[in-house]
Amino acid sequence: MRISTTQIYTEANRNMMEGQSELAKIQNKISSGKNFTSLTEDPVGANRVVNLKRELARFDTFQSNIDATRRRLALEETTISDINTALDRARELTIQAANNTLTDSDRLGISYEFEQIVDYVANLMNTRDAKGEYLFSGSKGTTQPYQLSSGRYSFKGDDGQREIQIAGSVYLKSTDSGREIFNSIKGDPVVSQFGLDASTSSMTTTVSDATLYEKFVGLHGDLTLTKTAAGLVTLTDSTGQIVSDVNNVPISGIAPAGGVYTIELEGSTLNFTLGAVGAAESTRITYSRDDTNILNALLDSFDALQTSADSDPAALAAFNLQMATMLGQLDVAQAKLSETTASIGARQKAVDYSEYSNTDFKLLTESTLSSIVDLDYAAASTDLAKRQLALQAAYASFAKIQGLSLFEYI
Amino acid sequence: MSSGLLSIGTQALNANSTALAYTGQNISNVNTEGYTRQTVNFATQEPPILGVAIQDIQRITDKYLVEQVWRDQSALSSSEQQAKKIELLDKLMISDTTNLSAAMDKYFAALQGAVDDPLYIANRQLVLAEASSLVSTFKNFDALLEEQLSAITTESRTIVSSINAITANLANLNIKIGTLAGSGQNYNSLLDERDQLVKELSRYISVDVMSSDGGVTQTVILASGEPLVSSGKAARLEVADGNPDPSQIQIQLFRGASGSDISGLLGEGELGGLFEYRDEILQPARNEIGRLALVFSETMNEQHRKGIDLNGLMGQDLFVPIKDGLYSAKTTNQTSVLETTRLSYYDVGQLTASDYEVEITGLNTFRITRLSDGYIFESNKMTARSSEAQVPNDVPAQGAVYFDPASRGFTVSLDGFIFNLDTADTPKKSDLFLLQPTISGSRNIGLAISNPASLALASPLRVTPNQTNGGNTEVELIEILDGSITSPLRPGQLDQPVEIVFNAAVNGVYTFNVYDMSDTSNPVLIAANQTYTSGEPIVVQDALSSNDLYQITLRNLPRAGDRFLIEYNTDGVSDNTNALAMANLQTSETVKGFSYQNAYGQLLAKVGTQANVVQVSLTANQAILSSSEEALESVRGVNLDEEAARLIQYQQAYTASTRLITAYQTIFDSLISAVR
Repeated sequence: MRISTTQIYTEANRNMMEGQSELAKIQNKISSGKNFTSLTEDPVGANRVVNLKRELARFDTFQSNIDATRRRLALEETTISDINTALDRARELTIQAANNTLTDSDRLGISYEFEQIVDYVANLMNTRDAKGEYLFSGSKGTTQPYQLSSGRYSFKGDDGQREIQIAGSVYLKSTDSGREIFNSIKGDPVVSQFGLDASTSSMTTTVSDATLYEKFVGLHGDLTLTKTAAGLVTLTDSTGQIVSDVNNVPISGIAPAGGVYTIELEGSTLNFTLGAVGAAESTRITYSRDDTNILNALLDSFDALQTSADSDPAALAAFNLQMATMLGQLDVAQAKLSETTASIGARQKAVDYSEYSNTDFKLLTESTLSSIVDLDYAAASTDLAKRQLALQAAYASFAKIQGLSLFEYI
Repeated sequence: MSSGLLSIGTQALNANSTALAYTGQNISNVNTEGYTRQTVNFATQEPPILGVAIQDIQRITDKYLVEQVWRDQSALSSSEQQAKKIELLDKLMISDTTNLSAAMDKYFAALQGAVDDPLYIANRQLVLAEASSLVSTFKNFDALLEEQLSAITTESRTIVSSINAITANLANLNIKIGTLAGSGQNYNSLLDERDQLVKELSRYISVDVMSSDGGVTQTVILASGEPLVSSGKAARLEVADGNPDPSQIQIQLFRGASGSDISGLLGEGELGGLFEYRDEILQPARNEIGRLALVFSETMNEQHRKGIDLNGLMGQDLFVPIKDGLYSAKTTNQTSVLETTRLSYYDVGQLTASDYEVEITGLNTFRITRLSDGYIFESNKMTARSSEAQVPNDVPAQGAVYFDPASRGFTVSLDGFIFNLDTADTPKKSDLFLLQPTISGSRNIGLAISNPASLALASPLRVTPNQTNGGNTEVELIEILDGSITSPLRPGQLDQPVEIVFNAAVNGVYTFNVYDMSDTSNPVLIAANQTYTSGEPIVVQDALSSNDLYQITLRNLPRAGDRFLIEYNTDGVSDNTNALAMANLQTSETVKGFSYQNAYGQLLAKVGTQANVVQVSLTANQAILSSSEEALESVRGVNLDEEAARLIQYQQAYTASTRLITAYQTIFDSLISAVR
């Protein structure tokens, strides 16, 4: 086969150029430590890299969420623990004060410490975190949860709880509302009616046994009292069924005399004054409780301690009742606190577990990423040596052939 | 006889000295690019005359190999151009600083920070900062791609003027060669020059040659058969604005005064490579990124509008709403299009990243072609609507259309967008419009909020379970359904706070009543005895308009009498419900069934594969061109050793020829001295 002179040089040149460029590529890989620097070299790998980096970013996010949650829960835990300690002291004082050998001045002395405890606990309930957000006001972070007005504290926050994502599909509540923790004391029962014409009718109620009545409501829901135009009264529950009173007499088609009617249910008595015959009326009767908290309970005891009861058996009896009630309320409040502490503990455990599994997943992802992106140095060095050799051979062989020409010999 | 010897000798001398001269020509041109070696062919004189004459000076080449090299050069140049251009796209998509997935990771990380603590202003500021950075990344991406598009235009102009210069030269050469051939002179070097010019031309555009007179005049034709150079005339190429989209330039061929569009007939070569890159890789990438920007900003906005900010007001748009896409009309259209014509969107989640072509096929009939896959929507298969306002609602797969009797234009909706053509008169048959719903998305994205307090991270509604609730029911989720600008929640209030009250169970099935609590001393019943299913959302409608306003999902069984109050979330500044919802968009299937970053990953994979294919073609074409050039050179290239041998050969023949003359002289002298 014929070959032209220029071809010899072109070929040799091309081979040397190629050898140099391959060598440069390998050298680049070795010095950067990366397996590929452009999509062209490994499109599938590049796509996986983008996905893996996204996973790693998410793990980092989860970790900061976990850190934030931990801090928050730890602060809640210590605050609640401090409150619990204060309530323990309140309990001691209550037991001490219930001793009827004390005098007014003794009780007055105890009342001052009660006042201190109330202030201390109120302050703890209004704790703010490092950034100034109130811990226990639910989602109303800038509103002080427990505010004093007319001598009593009321809860001004709401029930919101913040949800935070600490792993791929694990969400955790990182905050607790004061209403849930501190307003566990049952306030006075309230029975209301909606629907009577205020100018002609009214309802008054007495709840003799709140627990019993609450159970009754739990079976029947809201009650509806209807009075037909003819003056017949029927009481139905939320399913439309007729309700029987405490003596199992169904309240249906009763004609109250003079429009005054008393119904006795389990645990409560409802007294109605209904309007004139000829007008139909109906009303819905609901049940709820006043919203109150342990601070108010403590303040009730404070008031009782400040009331003079020496040589006043009636006052003393009232005082003893208040002390007994106080102990009961402290039981309820502290039970709730311990329940909350347990819940916080459980969440802290969940956070820890998520942290462990996140760390494991992150490690796995990082090693997968490394296997795609990072250079295998052993293979690369072998390649480097190989190409070096090839280039050296190209140089040497070129030197050998370039001197050969017939013109040298004629 | 002796005079015969003299003339024989002289002829031999001439012939050999010519041969020596051409050998010298070969040797001196050994490094000349495109030089074809020439050999001298001797032939005996016609009898009865004796002697030798040069028959011809032959140019040793192979026509088929020459044309092969041209074709391979075109293929290589095309691959080279594409490889160069795709390198930029490659780097953009994968580099940590410009890569959109990495920017989104940072944005969602900042958003999660706000989920942790939405009240802390620094967290909110970080969200806005990352959002702004993401917007810049989008815009930067688009700017670089658009720059590449205009670079293609500039480069095309340069190439076209080079082509024009070459074709003018070729035309001249044809004339010169014709003249020389006519006068019988050697024009081999002009043939070499002509072949070199065609090779250079084939670098720019695919060409073929034809000759009807044995190679004297050569017609250069394009791949489609259109002549570029015919004898002494050269056609002219020009870069013209695209039609209908001016930014997508076209190449026109002028042979006289009128031009024809040859953009689809460029074959390979640099020009073909540029156009192929533009149409197959660049424009689709711009469309994909545009769609991602559109869907991202719209879905974020939709969720953001469903929350309330630090001031208790419902969220405004977080990103500048992108309301319009691009459309252009062909310049030859006869329909007069009014300025009110618009291309807008009804569901960005349905958008395909494709351009569309609308062709008017008759009175109230048209055809829309989806350019990415060629799918055709016919107007007679679309669902007819009775008014323009109804067109974007419940769009079926084949599209919906409304023909406006007043303007004779129409409104059509399909694949996520609405095209409303307003015309002054009836649209004329064969008129064409180009619709580009997604291409400008990435350019137009912007951040609309600068005040961190305006980030709507909280839920507008608060659910308060009553103190006395004894059942296990808890609120799982409360979702706003109407976050639009006209939502009744906008004035920062819930006109109708409601209370859900559970009734006693009948046969194990609980029901509930819903009361309007606008006046807490006088609740008004609005819905009675609704069946309660744990985990099923309860939809609450707006009192005035009866549109779905929000839905609440409750879980687990209640006790009779349990109640839940739903009211406006006044002062709810620590609530993070909407921030969480926005953060969860990262994994939702928003872009036609894929999450944002998965859609980006798909584009990454597509560009990567295309880049890989281009690279493989480049390597292959390089090898192919080398091998065909080698094959050609082995035929026409000068080999110095061969020429050296020839030199000796002709030298000896020359020396021998001089001897003939010496011999003749000796004979003549002998004759003269013999006669004296």
